Amino acid sequence: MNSNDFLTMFLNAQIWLVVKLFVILALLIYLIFAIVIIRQVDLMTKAINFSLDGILKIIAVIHFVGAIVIFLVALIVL
Amino acid sequence: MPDVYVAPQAKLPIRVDNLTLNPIGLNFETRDDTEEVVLLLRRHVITNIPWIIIAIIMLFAPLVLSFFPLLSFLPLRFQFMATIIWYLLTTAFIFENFLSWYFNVYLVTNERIIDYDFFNLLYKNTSDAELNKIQDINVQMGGLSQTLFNYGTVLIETAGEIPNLEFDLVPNPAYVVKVIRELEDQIPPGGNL
Repeated sequence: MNSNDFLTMFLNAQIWLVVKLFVILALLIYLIFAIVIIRQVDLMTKAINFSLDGILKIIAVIHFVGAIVIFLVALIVL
Repeated sequence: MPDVYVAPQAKLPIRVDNLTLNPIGLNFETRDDTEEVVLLLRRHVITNIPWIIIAIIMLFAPLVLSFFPLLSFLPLRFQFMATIIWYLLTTAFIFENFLSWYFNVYLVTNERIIDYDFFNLLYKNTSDAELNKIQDINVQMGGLSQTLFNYGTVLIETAGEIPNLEFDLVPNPAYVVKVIRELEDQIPPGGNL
């Protein structure tokens, strides 16, 4: 392996590291968004009570837990 | 079409063309003890079709990628994460659109009309007007879809400084106007029920 090949391989690895950081950052922002959705559902159900309120709150929490799981998977897999 | 609004005592919920008369178990934060919800309105179900079509396309988009490998330049682990993140975004898209439809409601009670609007994520706007402040009610219907599925916008002009209310794309607008007018007629002169 000459020095050029080594440099190319190194730069290639660095690019994917940068992409990984961006993905992690995006997923962190998404986690905040998932928290906002929980807050939003809470706010809405306080304003008006419907029969589906409980189910919607559960879906919002499941969505948040899913976002955490995907964030952790991204940390491990990428 | 069944008879419009019989009496405040009629407690059974009745579904009439996508709107609910006398909804059971419905409560809202500014409700008076004596106040009864007569009519619960949302945008017509058919208005959800555009985002449902987009959601279906989003759900099947990763399958299309298996025929046209646009992401093949990515390492396998990134392709895997891209698919998972895509489905996460699709879930959020569906949930947000459903919430927006489900909680943007218009209520007609035996005392007033209320418009609940939830914009974006955290902005809420509630407008209400007492029935005896209503001056004029207009119905706007236009286009193929609205004529075909019988939905439209009910514009309610109110007296004085109270902002006008708009029931956007509600089903059976003529029926809504009829209910409001009948409730108005039941108000004794100079006050609410």
